[in-house]
Amino acid sequence: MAAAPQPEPTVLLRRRRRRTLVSIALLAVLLLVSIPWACTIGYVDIPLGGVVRALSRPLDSSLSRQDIIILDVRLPRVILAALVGGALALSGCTMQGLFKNPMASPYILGISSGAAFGAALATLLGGGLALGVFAIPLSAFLFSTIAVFTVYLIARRDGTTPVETLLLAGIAIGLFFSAAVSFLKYVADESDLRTIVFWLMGGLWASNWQSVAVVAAPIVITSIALTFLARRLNVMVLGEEHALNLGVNVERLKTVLLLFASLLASSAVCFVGIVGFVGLIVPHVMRLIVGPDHRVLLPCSALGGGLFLVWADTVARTIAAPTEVPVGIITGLLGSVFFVFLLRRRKQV
Amino acid sequence: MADWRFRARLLLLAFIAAGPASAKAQGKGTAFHVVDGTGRTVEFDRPPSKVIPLQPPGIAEIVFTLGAGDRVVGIQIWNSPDRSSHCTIPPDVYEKLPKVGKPPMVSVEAVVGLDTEAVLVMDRFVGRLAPLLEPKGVKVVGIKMDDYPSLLSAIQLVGKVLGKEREARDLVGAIREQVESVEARLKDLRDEHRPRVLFVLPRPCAAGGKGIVNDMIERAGGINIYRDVPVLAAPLNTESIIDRDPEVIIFYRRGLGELEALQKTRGWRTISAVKSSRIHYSEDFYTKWSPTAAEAIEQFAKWFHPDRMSD
Repeated sequence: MAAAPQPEPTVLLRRRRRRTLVSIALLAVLLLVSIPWACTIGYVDIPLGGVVRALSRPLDSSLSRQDIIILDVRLPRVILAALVGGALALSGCTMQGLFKNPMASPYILGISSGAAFGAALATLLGGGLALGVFAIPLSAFLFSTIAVFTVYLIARRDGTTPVETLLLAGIAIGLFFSAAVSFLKYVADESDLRTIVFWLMGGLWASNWQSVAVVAAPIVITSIALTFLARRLNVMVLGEEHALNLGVNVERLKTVLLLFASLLASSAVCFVGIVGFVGLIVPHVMRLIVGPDHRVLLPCSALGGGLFLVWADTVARTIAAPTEVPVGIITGLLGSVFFVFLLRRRKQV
Repeated sequence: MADWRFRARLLLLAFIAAGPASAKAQGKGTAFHVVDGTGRTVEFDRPPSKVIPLQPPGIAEIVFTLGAGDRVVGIQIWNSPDRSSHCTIPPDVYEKLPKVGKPPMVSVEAVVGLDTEAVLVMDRFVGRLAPLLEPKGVKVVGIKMDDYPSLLSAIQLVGKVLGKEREARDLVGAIREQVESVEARLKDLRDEHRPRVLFVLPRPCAAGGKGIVNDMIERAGGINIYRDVPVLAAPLNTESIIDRDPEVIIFYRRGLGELEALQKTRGWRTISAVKSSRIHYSEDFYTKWSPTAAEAIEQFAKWFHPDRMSD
């Protein structure tokens, strides 16, 4: 290092900073273009002109069937996909940084199993809850929160929460709720069973503006808040002692990061079910592309996750037209193949 | 009205069949054999007096309707909200019967422990159950029941196994008569008068072109909008529903929170069935082959063709 020519580190740094800004901008533009673009694709053939016309319609004008399909069926669905994909990838990225574990995902603290239990329970209780459309999302959100808090309480001892204990407690609580879901599947009748099984595979078929409105606020606010913690997350990755020495309140930071990452994941899954792989693979892909600095990695993961789920869901809703495929299957298939490709490429470099 | 008549007839049949027939069946000791729904030949010394119909309700309903309910020694757990209605298994009898597992699981120990002589199972389970049960002296009869003609032959097969051939003939006759009367009313129906039908199954899925619901819709003079999708249940795609514009929508059950999401969209209100309020709620019994199938077909026909079906 000392032998290196004087101007090089700063030039490198500046070059890297420019590259990272370019990646963020590029991903943002891609996502912004993808949203209307994905709206042109679907079972009903609507030319680009029709999509533009529908999107530029003044409110309260009379809408044709085509306009309604664009504005009320495709657009909310594409936006929800962007929000959910972004939330899962951001949450996964945070968890991977926090746990310093490449296997970490948004679901590592039992969120998916807790949410699955909540959804299954609401399915079985059915009309008895009198909450209508919100019965399943609300119950899923509630139980995923319960799962995370239980994990946190188990791991907390003498004012500290060691990440290894968190991980193990997450596995235990996850297994507990998985078993509970299995039990509910066992007692469910055939029709409820099918509802539960499909929920576990994830799907955006029921998206409407209402669901977008409900999840948009928590996801957007938490995402912005998390981005501000990126620098401190970088310090955490160095190790907790280092972070302590650098004056970071490690325990409080951990709690806040866990809270945000969990809130993101719970908001993401509650309407659409367990969409796998986005939260695990997108952060890795982004790390391979833009490097490990969370100030870049976090926004890139969020944008990349949104981008990925928008297109995965476009495949899910068109590949088997006039019916569709649960999006979790597509994210799993596409995600793992793409990831293996990137891994191999990295080795050859 | 007609389904009342039909049900009364079934009930009467069950009563007539219950007494002398079972006595006769046990008295006679003539050996016989049947060729079951999977093509296997099953030999009997006499009609079995202890049977378990598996995968309720379909097969069990046939057994009870034929008046052989007193020979049922066990049943599998069947969690259905509609167990009490539209089902020929008396709810109190179901409660009292020993349970031998929940489909697709069967407790071999429980079946053998009840001295069961024969189990009646859906054809796809024969391969797995026969090697488990037959070495222990329990006969396994496969029942094939996946469309209307196979329902009728399944009733005849169950009748033959239980020595209730006359009752089975009568039941098949009654079902045929009811379905034929629907067909007669729908004679010369032109394709443009067949309503486009969406049948919403759980998840929600739509009934595809394979299986019972599609068959029932066609027999009742409707066109399933997803008959081109060769599956039992096709996951719903809102956009294609709006595009295919069903004229009648049947929900498999009431009170489904998730389905309301669909109905909140503006697209939902462009659908013909919604505009003309031709939305109906079915019960679970419409999605299974059982002696009540004719009833379902008639009900569908009334929803699709109120003009032709009114008396």
